[in-house]
Amino acid sequence: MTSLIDVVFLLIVFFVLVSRIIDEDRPRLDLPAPTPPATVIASPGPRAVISVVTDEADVSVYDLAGIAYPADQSGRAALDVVLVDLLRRDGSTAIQIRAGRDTPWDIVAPLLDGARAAGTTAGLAHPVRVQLAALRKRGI
Amino acid sequence: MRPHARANRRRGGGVALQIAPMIDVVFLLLMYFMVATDFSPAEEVFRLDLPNQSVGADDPLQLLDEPLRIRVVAAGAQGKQARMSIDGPWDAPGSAEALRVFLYDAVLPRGSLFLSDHPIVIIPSEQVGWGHVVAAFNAAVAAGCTNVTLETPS
Repeated sequence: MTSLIDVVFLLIVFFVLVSRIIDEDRPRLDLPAPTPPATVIASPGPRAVISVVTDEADVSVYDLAGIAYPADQSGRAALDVVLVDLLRRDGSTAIQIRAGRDTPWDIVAPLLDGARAAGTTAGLAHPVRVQLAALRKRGI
Repeated sequence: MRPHARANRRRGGGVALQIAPMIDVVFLLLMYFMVATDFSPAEEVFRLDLPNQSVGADDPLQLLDEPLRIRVVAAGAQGKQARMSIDGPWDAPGSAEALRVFLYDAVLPRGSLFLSDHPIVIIPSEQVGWGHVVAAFNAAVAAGCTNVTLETPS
């Protein structure tokens, strides 16, 4: 019996670790952590997670599913094409925007414009669902 | 019956505690809870619905409420700080917390200025940090406002 419990627990630990590695595929960002937080847990369902990643040289890119789009006119246009395609396939897809707290607004704002325009181009009858990512600090 | 139990019985002793397997299981339990516990802050979201650009054209007779406009302007030496102001005869809130208190006291039934679904538009300046924009958004949502949007430069 003891060996069985050993093996079962090792399997559980293995799967917990693996699930965590899968969850870590998004870029690490210094997300805003407002207090007291009024955030909610992201509802389950399809979503496109766009992260605004800024490197040491202060150059920003939009990261969607591991593909980096430059934060300029051409990058935004390419990103818009992808968003329109996603919304045409499933209109309930939420567009989640993740950006560090020091990211200037003029880098983030075009993403909101792009999401709105993508909803219009995709012919959605309802508003585009956008999620703004933030951290909720846990109490002890 | 297991051999060691049989030997114990022959010797006339009681049931012996198996220390080594117990330590195995205790360490596995410890490892499991350490791995399963997430010590980092949880990532959550604010929901924001962006209406279709042609929505306004559907109902030309619809009366739109004049929104409450909250401006978030970059301040400080490197623009790391932010200054918030509210369009209208109200004092500028010194912080996101002051903005939350103002809105909390203004919204019905506590105050008499707005309904909770009164449109609130946050207008950030170009260089203001995303953290300050989110702080203003959070203040409005935490105060009970349900119709909060961000105005983009375009």
